[in-house]
Amino acid sequence: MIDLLSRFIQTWYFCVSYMKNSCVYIFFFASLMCSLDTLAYCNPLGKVQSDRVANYTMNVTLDHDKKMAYGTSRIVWHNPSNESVRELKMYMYLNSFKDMNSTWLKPTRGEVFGSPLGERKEKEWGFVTIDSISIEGGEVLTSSIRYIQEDGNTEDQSVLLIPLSKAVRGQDSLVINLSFRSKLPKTIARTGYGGNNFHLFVHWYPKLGVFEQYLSGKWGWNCHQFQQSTEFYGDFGVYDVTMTCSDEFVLGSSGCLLSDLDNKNGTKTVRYVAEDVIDFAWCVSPELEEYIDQWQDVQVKLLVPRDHCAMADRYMIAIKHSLQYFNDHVGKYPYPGITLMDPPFHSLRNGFMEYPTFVTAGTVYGMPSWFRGSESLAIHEFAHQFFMGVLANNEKEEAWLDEGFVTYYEDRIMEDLFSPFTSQIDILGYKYGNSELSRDEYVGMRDQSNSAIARPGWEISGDFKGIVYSKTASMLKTLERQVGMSHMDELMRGYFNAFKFKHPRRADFVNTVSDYLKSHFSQEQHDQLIGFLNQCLDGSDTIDYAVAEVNKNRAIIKRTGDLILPVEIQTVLSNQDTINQMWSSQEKTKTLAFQEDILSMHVDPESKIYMDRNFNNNSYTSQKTRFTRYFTKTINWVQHILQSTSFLI
Amino acid sequence: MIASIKAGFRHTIRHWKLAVYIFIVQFIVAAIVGFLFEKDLSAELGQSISGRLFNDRFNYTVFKDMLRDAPEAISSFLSGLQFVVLLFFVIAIFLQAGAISSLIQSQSSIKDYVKNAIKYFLPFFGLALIFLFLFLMITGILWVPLLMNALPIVEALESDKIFIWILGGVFILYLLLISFLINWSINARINYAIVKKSIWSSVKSGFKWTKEKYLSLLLPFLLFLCLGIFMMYLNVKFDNLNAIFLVFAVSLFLSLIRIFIRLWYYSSLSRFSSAIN
Repeated sequence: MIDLLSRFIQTWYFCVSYMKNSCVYIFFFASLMCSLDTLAYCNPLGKVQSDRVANYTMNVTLDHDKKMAYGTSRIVWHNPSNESVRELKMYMYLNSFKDMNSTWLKPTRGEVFGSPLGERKEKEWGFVTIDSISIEGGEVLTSSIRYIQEDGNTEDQSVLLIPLSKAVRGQDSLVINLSFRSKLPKTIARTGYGGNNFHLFVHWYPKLGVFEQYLSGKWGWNCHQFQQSTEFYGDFGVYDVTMTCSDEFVLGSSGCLLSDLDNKNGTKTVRYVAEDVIDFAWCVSPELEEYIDQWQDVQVKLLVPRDHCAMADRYMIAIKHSLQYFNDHVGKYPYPGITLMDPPFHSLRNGFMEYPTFVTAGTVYGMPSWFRGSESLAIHEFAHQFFMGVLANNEKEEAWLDEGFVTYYEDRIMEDLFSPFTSQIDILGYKYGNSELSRDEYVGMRDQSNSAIARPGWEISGDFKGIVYSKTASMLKTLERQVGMSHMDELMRGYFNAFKFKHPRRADFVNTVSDYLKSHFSQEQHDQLIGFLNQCLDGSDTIDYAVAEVNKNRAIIKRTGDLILPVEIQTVLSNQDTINQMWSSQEKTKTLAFQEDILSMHVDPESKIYMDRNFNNNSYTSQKTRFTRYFTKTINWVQHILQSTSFLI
Repeated sequence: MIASIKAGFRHTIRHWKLAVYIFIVQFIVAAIVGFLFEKDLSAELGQSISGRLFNDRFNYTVFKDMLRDAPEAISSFLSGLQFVVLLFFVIAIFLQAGAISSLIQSQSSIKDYVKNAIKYFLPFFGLALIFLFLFLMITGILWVPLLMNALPIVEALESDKIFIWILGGVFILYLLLISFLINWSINARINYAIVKKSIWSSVKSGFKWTKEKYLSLLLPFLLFLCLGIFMMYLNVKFDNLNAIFLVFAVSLFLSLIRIFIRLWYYSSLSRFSSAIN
């Protein structure tokens, strides 16, 4: 109770200090949320949900002056195959930020996200190094480890090879112990430290690659070097991580808090456990405030800088709504907690990223309520818990399976939370929604001639976001509109349940869709939709339907582009009859003739083919629209502009 | 100052015709732009059902599809707008010359207005160029370095709140400088219309006078500014598809009121100036 009261007083004090009178309502909400801390819980020890192939018990101490974490790690790895394994491969991704020679940094020409790297001091670079490594109770491996490269860049140290003198037999386990040091760089690509002792530890420890069966049937390590256009891939396991840092810091991480010990020497030691996850990230900062709430049995924790406290309720609503939405449409969130960290603005480059049960967002002080970008990005990162976290696809080889799906659900959730036409921006009549934006990003791509989706990240040049995020989202939206929302939900539930805590690939998704379509739709519809999916995934075909010509009772419909789907044509005749026809659109044009004159004609009236490049030319009406409203509004606005400028001249 | 505002109001009421002249010219210029925009929209969307959607309310998808697939759709509008901006620069000076000099000389017939406008056009043109240059200079000096270095500044600060406050502070400073500049510009023109000396002596006198009386001028300026912004806000909020012409008529009336307010401000300033001198 005293704790509750003290939290309430603290919240009251900081809200009054920082937000003054303008945020009275936020203050009450924040007070309530902070007070709920004692009611919310995060039970880390749940049921076994995955194969738990790679399990880490780590103990790390942060020296924040040196930006260095000193750690030990005990890794228990189960060989998931029936084959003997003679070597291990490990990600050492912090080494990508060791100097300009890494495969990640070489192509950047000295600049990442507008941040110049050329003038970096030595202490601003990062690395991860293994000081000792051995098999438990056996061989010391330290002298035999070496960095390997698949791209021939011998200066890249992002993947480590560990030869084993004694093979790990199929289905056996291996326990290795290692000590390591992780030096954070000044933030590059979301990783590193920022101002005022902000530290974000992501891809910070020696981490095993994924030993898996390739499409050819052979087993081997999937452990690619770190490249700019690729993200991450890891195996499921349990992470039991104990972290020691200054007691002035607020610490947030993947998993659930198991213990928090004050060492009485200016430091504290906290232990977090995350089960059935593929990675573990954590952060510390003296500037963060904690907000805790509960959705069903899931603890929702926000770590927000004091100056962003006005965003706390917006984030909380967004995350809780996402949890509910996924529960209703895809599947239940399978972890006991989720933490969202909004970095202080000086460390914004650390924001907008996803890690298991821990996501980073970003906002700015005084973010207006009519701009929902922060909510949208928070929902995007949260949605990765499902696509990347639970359905742990290979983000390097098939980024569309997470980024594209996440964008699709981000759009759906945002539009459910706000409305389809205002979910991104809604100010003084100017408004647009998430799906509109995703479609626009895809159809607005400058060059669509090389826009196949299903390719490894390093093969995609040009508009990565337009292809991987927006084209995939528009493809899924088209699929949804073709089959209907309830079928789409059932299909996605099936995909989620079949592949949760696994590593789904393209074939898994396409086969799921195929099986579902076979059992719920005609063979013809199945073939059309599967053909459409494959065309989107493998090709660069586009589509644009148009009413090319109308002459009294005759009309010519045209298809530009070869992304073929059957399309509905709705015609209203002068006798008020409405005629609905389907066009297979196999041929490029179709001529239609009627007994009566055409009043209006609409190809794809429900915009089911959401990838259509131009909806405006899909229709014709004989009753020409007069834009009187825009005429009068323009006159009014021009007058006001002229009037405003008149003062000076 | 209050006495000048009251007297200015009465004086402007007496010379209400001046507001109507300006309003008519402005309306014609705005109508040209409106016509061009409507013509472009009709050509691109008039026979599409999307046009109806767009007419009901702003539709992002319709708008972006139009721009992407037919950028020429608003090309005549944009080129028309450029022409109108240039045209208005000249016309605005002409209107100002007529308005300020007619107000000072208590004349409100169209003949006197045109005569005065022609007479003072060239000197007012020179004054306009000087103040436009100063305006661009102030804007550039205050905003360009700040915005170009926004990211490193924010990253060096403890909180983005400080940066927002810096932006707010710079904006207030900018507003104060612009209010000074506008008052200086008006006073220079009033001075020229009264004293009829050279442009430079008007600029100097206007500066001296504005500097001395700036604090007295600031409150009425802010008041008139707020009124102007409020009028624009009404223009945005007052929107009803079923009553387009009523909305249009009310908006035109608001525009006329704004012109009247501007003339009232000129009139008050010239009264204040005369009272002081």
